[in-house]
Amino acid sequence: MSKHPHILVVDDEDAIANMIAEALRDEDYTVLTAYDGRQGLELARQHTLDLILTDVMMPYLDGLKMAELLLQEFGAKTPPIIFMSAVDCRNQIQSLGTFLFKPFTLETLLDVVESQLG
Amino acid sequence: MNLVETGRLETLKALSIVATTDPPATFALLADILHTQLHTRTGFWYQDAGGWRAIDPELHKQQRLPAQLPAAISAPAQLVRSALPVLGDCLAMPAEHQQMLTFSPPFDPGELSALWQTTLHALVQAVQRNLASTLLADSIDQGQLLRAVIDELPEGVLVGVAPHGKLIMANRVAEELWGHPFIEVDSVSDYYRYNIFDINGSVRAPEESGIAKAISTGQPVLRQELLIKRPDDTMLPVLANTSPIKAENGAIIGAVVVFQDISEWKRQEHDRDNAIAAIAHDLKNPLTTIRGSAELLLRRARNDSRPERELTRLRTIIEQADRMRDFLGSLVDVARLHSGELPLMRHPLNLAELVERTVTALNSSFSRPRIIMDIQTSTPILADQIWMERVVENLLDNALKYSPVETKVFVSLVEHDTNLRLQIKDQGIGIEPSDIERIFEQFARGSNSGSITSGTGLGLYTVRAVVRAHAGRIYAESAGLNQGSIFTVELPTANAEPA
Repeated sequence: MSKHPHILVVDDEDAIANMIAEALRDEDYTVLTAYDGRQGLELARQHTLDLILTDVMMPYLDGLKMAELLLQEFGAKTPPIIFMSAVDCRNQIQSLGTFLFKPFTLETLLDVVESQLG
Repeated sequence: MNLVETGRLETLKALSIVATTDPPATFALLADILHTQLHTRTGFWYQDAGGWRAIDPELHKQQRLPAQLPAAISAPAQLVRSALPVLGDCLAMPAEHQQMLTFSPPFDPGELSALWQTTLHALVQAVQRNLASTLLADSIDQGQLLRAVIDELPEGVLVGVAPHGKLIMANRVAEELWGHPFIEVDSVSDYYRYNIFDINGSVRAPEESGIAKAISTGQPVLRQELLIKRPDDTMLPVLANTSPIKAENGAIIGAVVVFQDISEWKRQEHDRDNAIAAIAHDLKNPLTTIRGSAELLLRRARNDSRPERELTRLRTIIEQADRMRDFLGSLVDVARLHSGELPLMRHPLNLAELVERTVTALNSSFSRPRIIMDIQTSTPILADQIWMERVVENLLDNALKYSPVETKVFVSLVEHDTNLRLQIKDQGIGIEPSDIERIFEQFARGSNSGSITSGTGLGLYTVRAVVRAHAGRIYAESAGLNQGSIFTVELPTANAEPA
């Protein structure tokens, strides 16, 4: 793991994506943001990432579909994925990644991020 | 001369008999039959040594008429009309309703007597024949009128009679709502033939029916939400109000239930619940941003050693965002629970333990325990523990919140028939009678809750939704303002519920 882990944040609510990005940057992470699944997929292909934080329900390409495509493309090299949603999606996520309920506290978010990077 | 004249036997409003000779006792006999059985105004004339007499049995008096009545013989109608206005009424009726028997002179006394007796006999028979049909005709008229009125009512009507709850009539709308014709049943135990269920779908004991209760208690049973299972297996939600029917002396002679289709109302309620869930859900995203941003700023402010007052403001934003989050969370849960979309995880649950645990936790926050427990059963119920905790906590919170700090709250748990009955009694502000039902509605707060404004207005609504989802029921009682309140929850025991 590099000194400044690279994290991709994907959420169609740009206010949330930006807020999360800022909080992560405050913790010295390097952050990329995308506002839907297609953008997220594009950025994931272009950059080497240590972690992806993604919303589940998004236009064009939802978080689950994006994760599946990444896994197909990168296999074991796919970075860990944290799915965020206000709806319990644990059944659909299964082994694709971990799940974080919205709304969450920043503290919880940072804890989950840290544990996934560790 | 002998004259017998009857008027309008069909309805027997009045009957007059005019005769020349015969003892008053004969008239009295006929008068008695006509008067007591038909309530017919009957008048009699007769002639004795003193001249013409008339008897109006209804007035119980005799009236002496003019001694000379030559006109009476030749024109009896005229006589009657002029002599006695009461009897004149019958002659004012259309001719086809009159029966006139005229005996023309001369005649010998024997023939007169025979004729009179024959006539009298015929008349009595006619009267008796008409008695039955008239009574029948009258009752059909009244019944038909009543029936028509009841049938025109926009709500279902069903009438049962004391003491056994025999069902005697229903109206057209009731039959439409049931989807089948009226079924005559002789007693409450046969009410199951009507396929009535509680609103949560559990089978309804016949003795729980509004009619059975109104007959046994003499009290109205109001605002019952029920389901009718129709022959096509659809379930129709109805709202029923039952009132006892009392005789003049106060004895309960039966009960009438009036019920209406509330499927449209239920559908709207369902739509509203869905809308609430959707709106609450949509508010979570901006809330996440607000809370997260405030938290972010707070972390930075701490690192930058900003003044405490800035930190306090940021903490307040976070706290309030948390309150909103909790509120939205329960709003979504309750809406889902209410619309039946949230599956309950029902397992055998020892309610006594749950109550004890909750009471102990709440009591620990007071220097002297405020809640007194009386737990008499440990029979389990089938319940979702998390939801049931909310029910108990919520009712206890309310009891504490709406009563003075120096007063006690009493909690009892007993087994009653196939139910556990949890009762929470306080000595607080009580509930206005007009609010008793309303307090369980969404966002409702008793009109006397005044300055006590914490709380979401979802508490009792949640409690009721949870209790109903567990096939139970909840009701509130209060003698009025500042008389305290009693909340009773009844939940079927684990054994009582179908597996």
